[in-house]
Amino acid sequence: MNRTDPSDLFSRLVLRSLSHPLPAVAQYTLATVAIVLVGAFRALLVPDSLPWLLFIPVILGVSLVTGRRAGLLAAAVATAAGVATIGDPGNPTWLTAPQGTGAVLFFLVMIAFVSLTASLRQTMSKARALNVELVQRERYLADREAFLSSVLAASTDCIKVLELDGTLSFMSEGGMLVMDISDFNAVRGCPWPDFMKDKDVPLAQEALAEARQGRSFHFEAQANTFIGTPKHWSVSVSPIRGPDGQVARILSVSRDQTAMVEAREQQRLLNNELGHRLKNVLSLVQSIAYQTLRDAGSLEEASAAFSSRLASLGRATDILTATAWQTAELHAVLESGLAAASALKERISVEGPRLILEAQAALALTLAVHELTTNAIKYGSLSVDAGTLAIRWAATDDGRFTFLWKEQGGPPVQPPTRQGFGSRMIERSLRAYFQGMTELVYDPAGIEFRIDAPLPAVARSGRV
Amino acid sequence: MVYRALKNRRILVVEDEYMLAQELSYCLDDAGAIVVGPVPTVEHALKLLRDQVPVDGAILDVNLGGVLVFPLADTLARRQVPFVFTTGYDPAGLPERFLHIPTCEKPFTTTTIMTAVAQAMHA
Repeated sequence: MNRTDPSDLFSRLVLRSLSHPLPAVAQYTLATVAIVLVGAFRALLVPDSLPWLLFIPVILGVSLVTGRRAGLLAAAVATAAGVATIGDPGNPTWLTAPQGTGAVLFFLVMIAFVSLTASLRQTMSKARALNVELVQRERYLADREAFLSSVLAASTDCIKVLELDGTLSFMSEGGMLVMDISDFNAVRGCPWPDFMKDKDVPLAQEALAEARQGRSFHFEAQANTFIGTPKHWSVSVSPIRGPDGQVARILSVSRDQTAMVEAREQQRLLNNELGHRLKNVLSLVQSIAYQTLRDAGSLEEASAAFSSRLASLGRATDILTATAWQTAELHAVLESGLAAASALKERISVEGPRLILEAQAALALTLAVHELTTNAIKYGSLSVDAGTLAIRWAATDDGRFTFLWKEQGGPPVQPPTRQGFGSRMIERSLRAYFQGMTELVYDPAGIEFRIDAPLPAVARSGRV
Repeated sequence: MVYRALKNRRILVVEDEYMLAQELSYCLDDAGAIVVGPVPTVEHALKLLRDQVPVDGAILDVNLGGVLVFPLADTLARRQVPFVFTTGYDPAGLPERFLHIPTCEKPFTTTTIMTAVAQAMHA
């Protein structure tokens, strides 16, 4: 129930007449009928006394419920009724002089009463309109407050109101959540800059000084939550002005950007690491270039060998790129090393378990397999139609990695007269990267190459 | 090209990238030096020193398969053996005590590294 609702019957009746006004004809009819009924009542029950008195409450009631015009009609009808009932048919003037004076006075007093009552009715009408407006405004304010509260509560930002001295006087629900604060009273009145990490306190103080001067300020800072979890924040501080336009308080909105800052740092580290690996690969390319030139008989030969080695290296990097230069799977490494013999696949058999290699071992093995393949196509088993190539490897239970490259059915093998880049690459570089034994055998029946190395030195996480 | 400062000096090569180690060995050989190693890890290098293998100078890769070479560098510095660093990282990131050590950023030319080693030996 609204606090301004009237409780008595009389007020309710008047308010109802104000909210549901009668048509003019009905008002006049009501006024006339009411007076006629009261006049008849008086004539029947108390014909000898109270000629005017009973009309007074009826006229007042009519003016209150219907207004001035119907009230004046009621007063006129009542005066006429009174005059009609108290007159003497034998008297040529109908009324005696005192009776006439009484009638005139009654009519005048009633006019005054009707005017006063109509004013009262008007005042009540205004009060009613004000009341309606008041109720509407209260409802609007309540709605608005609920809306603003829900907006503040819905935000995951930490929204705070600070006094001019920088002490906390309000924090949003969402803000208490991200700051791990369960009871605001624990921090009410605390100096806000003290929440920042030491190095960022001056920034917070500068922000407060700017806000007191009426300017907004933005900065990034580190601050622990109430229970000590370190976080990165993006903070906007701005002045809240009072009705007089002066800065009255300060608004601070902090957004938790820890995840973003950490991702940025991760990205930076990754970029540095990739840069480092790129430089290492460039050094490797440079070494291959020097050594290819050193061994080559002619510039054409050097150029062809270098291009094909670079192409093989390029294929190996494709495999490594998939794991951000961390590891490569042995089957994929062999496939890229054997690329030069891709048209001879039916004569090559490859068998072995899945193994994950370290990046350096993978690059070295790709280059070695490339050298072996090139040699096999030029001089070895893949240079004639009947020749075959078998590649086998195993990860044994005692933690060793064994690898065998075996050519068969090719022309008789002649040991080389001098050791060039290819055989050095195959034997010695793999020995270095795999930290084990390597052996290149020039068996007349076909070239054999073996690796026997500890598994942990080869594989990132043993067998996969 | 023969470098007088390197002539018959014993230079330790610590580099985990085999191809590069091989290339450094060739160049040192060409320059008239005697190559000790090359070895791919700090452990291998420290074992050589423990075994009393004489070393007059050294080329050290800063990052050996994720392991930093600094314990070996400290040992060499204590023995007053001159050395140079090679690295694929920013040389400004070296520990302060090594900031005066000549550093060749990868990739480098053979002339750059040989000159750096020769100057370190001469100094």
